[in-house]
Amino acid sequence: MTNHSSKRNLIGLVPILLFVILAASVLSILLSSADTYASITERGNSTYTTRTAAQYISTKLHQSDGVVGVEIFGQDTAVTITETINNQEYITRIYCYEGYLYELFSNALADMSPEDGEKLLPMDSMTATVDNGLLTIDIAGQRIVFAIRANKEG
Amino acid sequence: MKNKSPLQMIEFVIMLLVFAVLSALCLRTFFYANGISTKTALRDEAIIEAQNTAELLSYHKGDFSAGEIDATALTDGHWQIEHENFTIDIVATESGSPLLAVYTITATDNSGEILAEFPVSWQKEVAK
Repeated sequence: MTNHSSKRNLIGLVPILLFVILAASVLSILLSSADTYASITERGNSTYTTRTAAQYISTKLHQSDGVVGVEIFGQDTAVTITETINNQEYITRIYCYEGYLYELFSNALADMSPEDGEKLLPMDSMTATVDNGLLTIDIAGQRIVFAIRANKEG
Repeated sequence: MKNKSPLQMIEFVIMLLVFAVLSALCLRTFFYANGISTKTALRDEAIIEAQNTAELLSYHKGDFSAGEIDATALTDGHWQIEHENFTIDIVATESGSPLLAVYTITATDNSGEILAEFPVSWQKEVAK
Protein backbone atom coordinates (compact mmCIF):
# COMPACT_ATOMS: atom_id res chain seq x y z
CA MET A 1 0.00 0.00 0.00
CA THR A 2 2.83 2.36 0.93
CA ASN A 3 4.71 1.46 -2.24
CA HIS A 4 1.61 2.01 -4.31
CA SER A 5 1.03 5.41 -2.69
CA SER A 6 4.62 6.65 -3.19
CA LYS A 7 4.52 5.50 -6.83
CA ARG A 8 1.36 7.55 -7.36
CA ASN A 9 3.04 10.53 -5.73
CA LEU A 10 6.03 10.19 -8.04
CA ILE A 11 3.78 9.98 -11.09
CA GLY A 12 2.03 13.12 -9.84
CA LEU A 13 5.40 14.86 -9.70
CA VAL A 14 6.22 14.24 -13.36
CA PRO A 15 3.91 16.97 -14.76
CA ILE A 16 5.34 19.41 -12.23
CA LEU A 17 8.85 18.41 -13.27
CA LEU A 18 7.95 18.89 -16.93
CA PHE A 19 6.48 22.27 -16.13
CA VAL A 20 9.67 23.28 -14.30
CA ILE A 21 11.73 22.17 -17.34
CA LEU A 22 9.44 24.16 -19.63
CA ALA A 23 9.66 27.25 -17.43
CA ALA A 24 13.46 26.99 -17.20
CA SER A 25 13.72 26.57 -20.98
CA VAL A 26 11.44 29.56 -21.63
CA LEU A 27 13.47 31.67 -19.23
CA SER A 28 16.84 30.65 -20.70
CA ILE A 29 15.62 31.22 -24.28
CA LEU A 30 14.23 34.63 -23.32
CA LEU A 31 17.40 35.65 -21.50
CA SER A 32 19.74 34.51 -24.28
CA SER A 33 17.54 36.19 -26.92
CA ALA A 34 17.45 39.42 -24.94
CA ASP A 35 21.22 39.24 -24.48
CA THR A 36 21.79 38.69 -28.21
CA TYR A 37 19.37 41.47 -29.12
CA ALA A 38 21.08 43.86 -26.68
CA SER A 39 24.55 43.10 -28.07
CA ILE A 40 23.32 43.52 -31.68
CA THR A 41 21.75 46.89 -30.83
CA GLU A 42 24.78 48.08 -28.89
CA ARG A 43 27.16 47.05 -31.67
CA GLY A 44 24.92 48.71 -34.26
CA ASN A 45 24.75 51.95 -32.28
CA SER A 46 28.48 52.04 -31.72
CA THR A 47 29.41 51.46 -35.37
CA TYR A 48 26.66 53.85 -36.52
CA THR A 49 28.04 56.66 -34.35
CA THR A 50 31.66 56.21 -35.41
CA ARG A 51 30.90 55.67 -39.08
CA THR A 52 28.37 58.48 -39.39
CA ALA A 53 30.59 60.96 -37.56
CA ALA A 54 33.62 59.94 -39.64
CA GLN A 55 31.68 60.26 -42.89
CA TYR A 56 30.16 63.59 -41.82
CA ILE A 57 33.53 65.11 -40.97
CA SER A 58 35.12 63.60 -44.09
CA THR A 59 32.40 65.09 -46.32
CA LYS A 60 32.72 68.47 -44.61
CA LEU A 61 36.49 68.50 -45.12
CA HIS A 62 36.36 67.36 -48.73
CA GLN A 63 33.56 69.67 -49.89
CA SER A 64 35.02 72.76 -48.27
CA ASP A 65 37.72 74.97 -49.76
CA GLY A 66 38.45 76.49 -46.36
CA VAL A 67 41.49 76.17 -44.16
CA VAL A 68 41.34 73.15 -41.85
CA GLY A 69 42.68 73.30 -38.31
CA VAL A 70 42.15 72.28 -34.72
CA GLU A 71 41.48 74.56 -31.76
CA ILE A 72 40.44 74.31 -28.15
CA PHE A 73 36.76 75.21 -27.97
CA GLY A 74 35.19 75.10 -24.54
CA GLN A 75 37.06 72.32 -22.79
CA ASP A 76 37.74 70.01 -25.73
CA THR A 77 39.27 70.16 -29.18
CA ALA A 78 37.24 71.17 -32.23
CA VAL A 79 37.97 70.63 -35.91
CA THR A 80 37.74 74.01 -37.61
CA ILE A 81 37.19 75.00 -41.22
CA THR A 82 37.83 78.69 -41.90
CA GLU A 83 36.42 80.21 -45.08
CA THR A 84 36.27 83.73 -46.48
CA ILE A 85 32.80 84.71 -47.67
CA ASN A 86 32.18 88.27 -48.95
CA ASN A 87 35.51 89.41 -47.46
CA GLN A 88 34.42 88.16 -44.05
CA GLU A 89 35.97 85.20 -42.28
CA TYR A 90 33.58 82.49 -41.17
CA ILE A 91 34.47 79.45 -39.13
CA THR A 92 32.80 76.05 -38.93
CA ARG A 93 33.58 74.18 -35.73
CA ILE A 94 32.85 70.46 -35.32
CA TYR A 95 33.26 69.22 -31.76
CA CYS A 96 31.96 66.92 -29.05
CA TYR A 97 30.04 68.51 -26.20
CA GLU A 98 28.01 66.88 -23.43
CA GLY A 99 27.70 63.52 -25.19
CA TYR A 100 26.82 64.87 -28.64
CA LEU A 101 28.61 65.85 -31.83
CA TYR A 102 27.96 69.52 -32.50
CA GLU A 103 28.51 71.83 -35.42
CA LEU A 104 28.72 75.60 -35.17
CA PHE A 105 29.01 77.98 -38.13
CA SER A 106 29.69 81.58 -37.18
CA ASN A 107 31.64 84.69 -37.96
CA ALA A 108 35.26 84.11 -36.97
CA LEU A 109 35.21 87.21 -34.75
CA ALA A 110 31.99 86.31 -32.94
CA ASP A 111 32.30 85.20 -29.35
CA MET A 112 30.64 81.78 -29.30
CA SER A 113 30.45 78.96 -26.79
CA PRO A 114 29.95 75.19 -27.33
CA GLU A 115 26.25 75.22 -26.37
CA ASP A 116 25.54 77.62 -29.28
CA GLY A 117 26.11 74.87 -31.82
CA GLU A 118 23.69 72.49 -33.46
CA LYS A 119 23.37 68.99 -32.02
CA LEU A 120 24.09 66.35 -34.69
CA LEU A 121 24.32 62.88 -33.14
CA PRO A 122 25.18 61.17 -29.86
CA MET A 123 28.92 60.72 -29.29
CA ASP A 124 30.94 59.77 -26.22
CA SER A 125 34.16 61.61 -26.98
CA MET A 126 36.17 63.20 -29.77
CA THR A 127 39.68 64.57 -29.81
CA ALA A 128 41.53 66.01 -32.80
CA THR A 129 45.13 66.89 -33.57
CA VAL A 130 46.69 68.32 -36.70
CA ASP A 131 50.33 67.87 -37.50
CA ASN A 132 51.96 69.09 -40.68
CA GLY A 133 48.92 68.47 -42.87
CA LEU A 134 47.75 65.29 -41.19
CA LEU A 135 44.50 65.57 -39.24
CA THR A 136 43.95 62.76 -36.74
CA ILE A 137 40.57 62.43 -35.05
CA ASP A 138 39.84 59.98 -32.28
CA ILE A 139 36.13 59.15 -32.03
CA ALA A 140 35.38 57.00 -28.98
CA GLY A 141 38.67 55.10 -29.36
CA GLN A 142 38.54 54.77 -33.16
CA ARG A 143 41.33 56.69 -34.91
CA ILE A 144 40.48 58.36 -38.21
CA VAL A 145 43.14 60.03 -40.35
CA PHE A 146 42.70 62.72 -43.00
CA ALA A 147 45.45 64.03 -45.26
CA ILE A 148 44.73 67.73 -45.71
CA ARG A 149 45.75 69.38 -48.93
CA ALA A 150 48.66 71.78 -48.44
CA ASN A 151 46.58 74.89 -49.18
CA LYS A 152 43.85 73.81 -46.76
CA GLU A 153 45.92 73.38 -43.63
CA GLY A 154 45.64 76.02 -40.94
CA MET B 1 -9.27 10.62 -13.21
CA LYS B 2 -7.21 7.49 -13.66
CA ASN B 3 -7.41 7.80 -17.47
CA LYS B 4 -6.78 11.56 -17.58
CA SER B 5 -3.23 11.55 -16.18
CA PRO B 6 -1.47 9.88 -19.16
CA LEU B 7 -3.30 12.27 -21.50
CA GLN B 8 -2.03 15.23 -19.55
CA MET B 9 1.47 13.80 -19.75
CA ILE B 10 1.22 13.40 -23.52
CA GLU B 11 -0.08 16.96 -23.77
CA PHE B 12 2.90 18.21 -21.77
CA VAL B 13 5.40 16.22 -23.79
CA ILE B 14 3.93 17.45 -27.09
CA MET B 15 3.97 21.01 -25.79
CA LEU B 16 7.63 20.61 -24.80
CA LEU B 17 8.50 19.19 -28.21
CA VAL B 18 6.72 22.02 -30.03
CA PHE B 19 8.45 24.51 -27.78
CA ALA B 20 11.83 22.86 -28.39
CA VAL B 21 11.37 23.07 -32.18
CA LEU B 22 10.21 26.70 -32.05
CA SER B 23 13.00 27.73 -29.69
CA ALA B 24 15.59 26.03 -31.90
CA LEU B 25 14.29 28.05 -34.88
CA CYS B 26 14.25 31.22 -32.78
CA LEU B 27 17.79 30.71 -31.47
CA ARG B 28 19.07 29.94 -34.96
CA THR B 29 17.63 33.24 -36.21
CA PHE B 30 19.15 35.14 -33.30
CA PHE B 31 22.59 33.60 -33.81
CA TYR B 32 22.34 34.34 -37.53
CA ALA B 33 21.45 37.99 -36.80
CA ASN B 34 24.30 38.16 -34.30
CA GLY B 35 26.70 36.83 -36.95
CA ILE B 36 25.55 39.43 -39.47
CA SER B 37 25.91 42.20 -36.90
CA THR B 38 29.44 41.05 -35.97
CA LYS B 39 30.41 40.92 -39.62
CA THR B 40 29.01 44.41 -40.25
CA ALA B 41 30.96 45.80 -37.30
CA LEU B 42 34.12 44.10 -38.60
CA ARG B 43 33.50 45.47 -42.10
CA ASP B 44 33.04 48.99 -40.69
CA GLU B 45 36.27 48.76 -38.73
CA ALA B 46 38.11 47.35 -41.75
CA ILE B 47 36.81 50.13 -44.01
CA ILE B 48 37.89 52.83 -41.55
CA GLU B 49 41.35 51.27 -41.20
CA ALA B 50 41.65 50.86 -44.98
CA GLN B 51 40.65 54.52 -45.44
CA ASN B 52 43.22 55.54 -42.82
CA THR B 53 45.85 53.56 -44.72
CA ALA B 54 44.82 55.22 -47.99
CA GLU B 55 45.05 58.70 -46.43
CA LEU B 56 48.48 57.98 -44.91
CA LEU B 57 49.74 56.43 -48.13
CA SER B 58 48.61 59.43 -50.14
CA TYR B 59 49.98 61.83 -47.50
CA HIS B 60 53.44 60.18 -47.56
CA LYS B 61 53.27 59.71 -51.36
CA GLY B 62 53.75 55.96 -51.06
CA ASP B 63 56.76 56.18 -48.74
CA PHE B 64 56.41 53.06 -46.59
CA SER B 65 59.46 53.98 -44.54
CA ALA B 66 57.39 56.71 -42.90
CA GLY B 67 56.76 55.37 -39.40
CA GLU B 68 52.99 55.85 -39.48
CA ILE B 69 52.40 53.07 -42.02
CA ASP B 70 53.14 49.89 -40.12
CA ALA B 71 53.25 47.61 -43.17
CA THR B 72 55.33 44.54 -43.87
CA ALA B 73 56.72 44.10 -47.38
CA LEU B 74 55.71 40.68 -48.72
CA THR B 75 56.99 40.94 -52.28
CA ASP B 76 58.01 43.77 -54.54
CA GLY B 77 54.97 46.06 -54.76
CA HIS B 78 52.93 44.19 -52.13
CA TRP B 79 52.68 45.25 -48.49
CA GLN B 80 50.49 43.94 -45.71
CA ILE B 81 49.18 45.35 -42.44
CA GLU B 82 47.99 42.81 -39.87
CA HIS B 83 45.06 43.66 -37.62
CA GLU B 84 43.44 41.47 -35.00
CA ASN B 85 40.53 40.23 -37.14
CA PHE B 86 41.51 41.28 -40.64
CA THR B 87 44.47 42.16 -42.84
CA ILE B 88 44.99 45.04 -45.23
CA ASP B 89 46.90 44.39 -48.43
CA ILE B 90 48.44 47.23 -50.40
CA VAL B 91 49.38 46.35 -53.95
CA ALA B 92 51.08 48.66 -56.44
CA THR B 93 48.91 48.81 -59.57
CA GLU B 94 49.77 49.80 -63.11
CA SER B 95 48.37 53.31 -63.66
CA GLY B 96 49.20 53.72 -67.34
CA SER B 97 50.82 57.08 -66.65
CA PRO B 98 54.33 57.76 -65.34
CA LEU B 99 52.97 60.70 -63.35
CA LEU B 100 50.27 58.80 -61.53
CA ALA B 101 50.85 56.36 -58.67
CA VAL B 102 48.03 53.90 -58.04
CA TYR B 103 47.75 51.36 -55.24
CA THR B 104 44.90 48.97 -54.55
CA ILE B 105 43.93 48.57 -50.92
CA THR B 106 42.13 45.37 -49.96
CA ALA B 107 40.83 44.44 -46.52
CA THR B 108 40.15 40.73 -45.98
CA ASP B 109 38.90 38.91 -42.90
CA ASN B 110 40.61 35.86 -41.40
CA SER B 111 38.60 33.51 -43.62
CA GLY B 112 39.84 35.33 -46.73
CA GLU B 113 36.58 37.10 -47.58
CA ILE B 114 37.06 40.58 -49.03
CA LEU B 115 35.57 43.24 -46.74
CA ALA B 116 36.57 46.30 -48.74
CA GLU B 117 38.61 47.05 -51.84
CA PHE B 118 39.37 50.38 -53.47
CA PRO B 119 42.19 52.15 -55.30
CA VAL B 120 44.13 55.13 -54.00
CA SER B 121 46.13 57.37 -56.28
CA TRP B 122 48.17 60.55 -56.24
CA GLN B 123 50.29 62.58 -58.59
CA LYS B 124 53.97 61.75 -58.42
CA GLU B 125 56.54 64.46 -57.76
CA VAL B 126 57.78 65.90 -61.03
CA ALA B 127 61.57 66.16 -61.20
CA LYS B 128 62.54 69.70 -62.27
